[in-house]
Amino acid sequence: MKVPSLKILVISLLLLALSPVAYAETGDTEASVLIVYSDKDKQVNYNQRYLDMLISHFTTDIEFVHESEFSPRLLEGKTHLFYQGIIHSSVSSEFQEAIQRFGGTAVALGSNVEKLGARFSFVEPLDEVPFNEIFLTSAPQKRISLDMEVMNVETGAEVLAKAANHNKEYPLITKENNSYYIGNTYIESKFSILVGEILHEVFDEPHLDESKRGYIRLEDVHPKVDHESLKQVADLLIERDLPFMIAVIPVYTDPETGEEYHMADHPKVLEVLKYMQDNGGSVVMHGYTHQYRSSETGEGFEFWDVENDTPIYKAADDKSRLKKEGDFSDPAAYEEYKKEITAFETSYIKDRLETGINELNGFGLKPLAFEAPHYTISQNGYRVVSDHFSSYVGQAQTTDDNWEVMGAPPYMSKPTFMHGMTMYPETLGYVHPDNEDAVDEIIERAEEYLTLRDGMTALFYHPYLGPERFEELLNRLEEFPSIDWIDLKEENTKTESSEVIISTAEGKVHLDGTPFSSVSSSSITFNHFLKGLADKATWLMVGTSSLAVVFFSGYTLLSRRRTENEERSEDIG
Amino acid sequence: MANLFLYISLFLIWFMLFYHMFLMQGGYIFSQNYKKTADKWREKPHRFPTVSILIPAHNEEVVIEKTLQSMVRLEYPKNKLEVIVINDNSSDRTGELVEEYAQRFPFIKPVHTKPPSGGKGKSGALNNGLKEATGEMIVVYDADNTPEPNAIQYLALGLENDPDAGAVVGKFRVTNSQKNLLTRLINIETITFQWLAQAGRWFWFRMTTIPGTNFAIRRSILERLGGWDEKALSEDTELSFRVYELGYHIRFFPMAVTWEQEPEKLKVWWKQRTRWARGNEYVIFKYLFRFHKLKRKKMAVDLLYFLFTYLLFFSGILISHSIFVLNLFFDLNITIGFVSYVLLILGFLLFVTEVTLALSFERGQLTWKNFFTVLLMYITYSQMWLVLVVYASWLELKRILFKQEVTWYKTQRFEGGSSKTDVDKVKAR
Repeated sequence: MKVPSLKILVISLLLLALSPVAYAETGDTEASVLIVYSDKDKQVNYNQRYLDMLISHFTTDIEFVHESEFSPRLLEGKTHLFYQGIIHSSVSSEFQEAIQRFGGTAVALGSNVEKLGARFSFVEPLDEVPFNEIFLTSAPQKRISLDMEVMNVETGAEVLAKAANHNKEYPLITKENNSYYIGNTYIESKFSILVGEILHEVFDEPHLDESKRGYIRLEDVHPKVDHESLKQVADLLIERDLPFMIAVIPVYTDPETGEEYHMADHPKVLEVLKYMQDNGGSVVMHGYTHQYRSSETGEGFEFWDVENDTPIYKAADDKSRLKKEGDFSDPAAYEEYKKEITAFETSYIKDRLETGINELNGFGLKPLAFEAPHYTISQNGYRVVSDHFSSYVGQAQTTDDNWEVMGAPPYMSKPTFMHGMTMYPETLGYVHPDNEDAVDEIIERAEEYLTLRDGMTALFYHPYLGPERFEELLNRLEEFPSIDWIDLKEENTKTESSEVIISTAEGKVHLDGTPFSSVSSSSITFNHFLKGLADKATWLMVGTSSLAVVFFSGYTLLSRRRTENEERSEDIG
Repeated sequence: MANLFLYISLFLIWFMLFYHMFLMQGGYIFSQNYKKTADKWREKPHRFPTVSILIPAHNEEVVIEKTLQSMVRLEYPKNKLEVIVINDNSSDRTGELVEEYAQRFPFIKPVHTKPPSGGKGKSGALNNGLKEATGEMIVVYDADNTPEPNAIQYLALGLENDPDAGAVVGKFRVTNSQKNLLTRLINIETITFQWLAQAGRWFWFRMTTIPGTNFAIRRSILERLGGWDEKALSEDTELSFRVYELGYHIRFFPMAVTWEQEPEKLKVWWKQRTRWARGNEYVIFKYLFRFHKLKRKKMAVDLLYFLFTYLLFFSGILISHSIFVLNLFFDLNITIGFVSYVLLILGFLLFVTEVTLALSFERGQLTWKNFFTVLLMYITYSQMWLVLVVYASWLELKRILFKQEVTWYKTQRFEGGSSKTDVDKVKAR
């Protein structure tokens, strides 16, 4: 070995020793995954994205390929192979052989397991059976209620998880050596809790230093909310020293008049928000207006055209019909058209994000993450959001075909379709005003998610419902001491607009870009800023001039006495 | 938009009010100390410089005699004193009366001027008088003035003890303050003006505006300046600026007191004040646009003050008045709220306390009658001022646009009946 390279080695070893201990974070392992799927659609769609959300808890090195397009070359360098059998289909001999040869871990889900060859001969599918409970074999007392069907299999292999229907039990997840079979593909359901737990073994990432996490989000806080109940609700969290998130909508649009109300128009709400932000609250930008067309803020969709069930492909007042593939004789023309409408969507979203970030920042609110209104946004939308936010909060819409298809992994994740954003999934739902059992239901769900070693227990609450039910909810949640409540300020988030970069680390929010640039980027915040200054100035004027009035009155009395004394002494003199 | 205008007007107005507070504070401190300065100077041995008093008189038969009597009563070595009365193109008995006195008192020297050299207004008359003057110190009195006997002594003391002072300005008081409401208001105004603006500016900036009467200026300076600006309507303000420009300050010395008559009729007041306002506007324009050329930048203080008085403060008031009126008819969505009422009240209280404080410096002025007059003043006299500035600005604008000649309006005099009692009352003490 030559001397210089030895030196380099020594130095790099030293540096390594000096550098802080790196511990495994979400998506940080060296695992490399190929997912082969059998599905109606050749394109990646929601089923694959659910899997994405689960696997990206461990690695973001994930490649997808439809079974029909599989080639053995794709397995080169991969450590894990997943087969997702959504539909009954044939399996190519090429793929079958590849499975046998593949030295890494292999996981098969759902259908077609019998066609995967010798490696999966440890299970023999029988028929689908209904069940209402699932649990880990290692922890049979922690049951998760779930009504579904599972592919019943005959197996002599190790059973990691079971499904139960009254007294009958069925193998749900089975394992032989480094091959796993998961007998159900509904991983968007609570089944994901068990799958997630098993995946720690699949990836050999025990995550022992990761804790169970959770967050409480106050939802739909816009300029016209009742600031008193907002403060009451916030105070319940602050008293308990619980960090929390606030889903803030910067603009309220009146559905009848179309009039817009900004934070500047409701300074009391803004004041409460700042108080919350200073006392454990982190602002999550929940859209800009939370509406599109003439719907009401908080009710309407902002990044989804519900009338057409498409992404926002045209202006709100554009009455023209969106064209479909069938309207084009030439596929190239259709592609061109798609490009156009996607570009419209991109600039629509970008514009709202920019405006929203700048406006919030101009009002002194620091958006640390993004949450799409009603969790609805297109795949292109995630890409646009990822240019501005490093953190995404809530559930994920997983297809552009139907806004109602959405879900969330049971733990922190970094889905590849979110282009680098960290996802803080919401898992427990919310208190529906009409549901008397809402709190009980949330707590039951929480217990289930807590069976996962680093499970997420996240929920939201609408502050307009007042503090009573929220207090009840918090009291119940406090019975789970193991939950590490998320404070986004501790999370290394990053939010970017053309005017400002807002980043967090170790509880501190850091602003890049002068506050003034942000203030001046919108006339609304600039006016607000000026008005704030003017307000302070006027009160300063009040203070100073009051003092002057007091002093001058005092002087007058002194001066009068002096004048009188002079008169008297002159009279005597 | 309405909000923006409201705030702009608010800040313009309050900038001015703060400046006034600041000046009043200076005026108060000065009022407590100037007598000590006077005592110190009086006790020191000092010389009596030769003094030339200039009295421009154009048709002043009503008042000139009383003025000349007060000249006779002046306590100043008569061999060091000359009183030059410029009988400027009078068509009444002014000339005769002056000649009469001149024969009895050799230190009174009449100068009779006729067009083309005479009849061109106060500045012209003063320049004509200056040609005849021999004193080291030039003092000016208006023809309706009755200075107290020791006035010249104090003016001389000021110049003798303060070599940096180009001029010394005394105090003027109103003889006919009890005549009617108008004169009572003017009396309060003049007292406040002198203690707030004159004394305050002297205290903080060593600046005092020459008031046109009862001031002494070194003849050497007048000669260097080439006398008074005959184009200026308010020649005194203009002269003050030129004195500063030479590097001198102008001292306010209220020990030197003169008594003068103020307009008893609104019409007379209106004409006099219009001339002052126009004159000051003339000065603003004369100096503002050549400000970069001025050597002594401290004039910015006064220029800014004038600019505020005649333009900015004034616009502020106009804007806020219009917003107030508009808001009665339309919802302007004014957001300022509660604080505006507090400011409204404080503005009024400031006015009242500042004026009463100034009144308290003068014997016998801080009376209940005067106090209630002050309250009334805020809503009457002070508001008249607004209309006056608009009018004066309009005239000035016309003059500039149509290149009109300025005509000097001489303030109409009134026969002093009861007015004398004021002076006598004070002198009796």
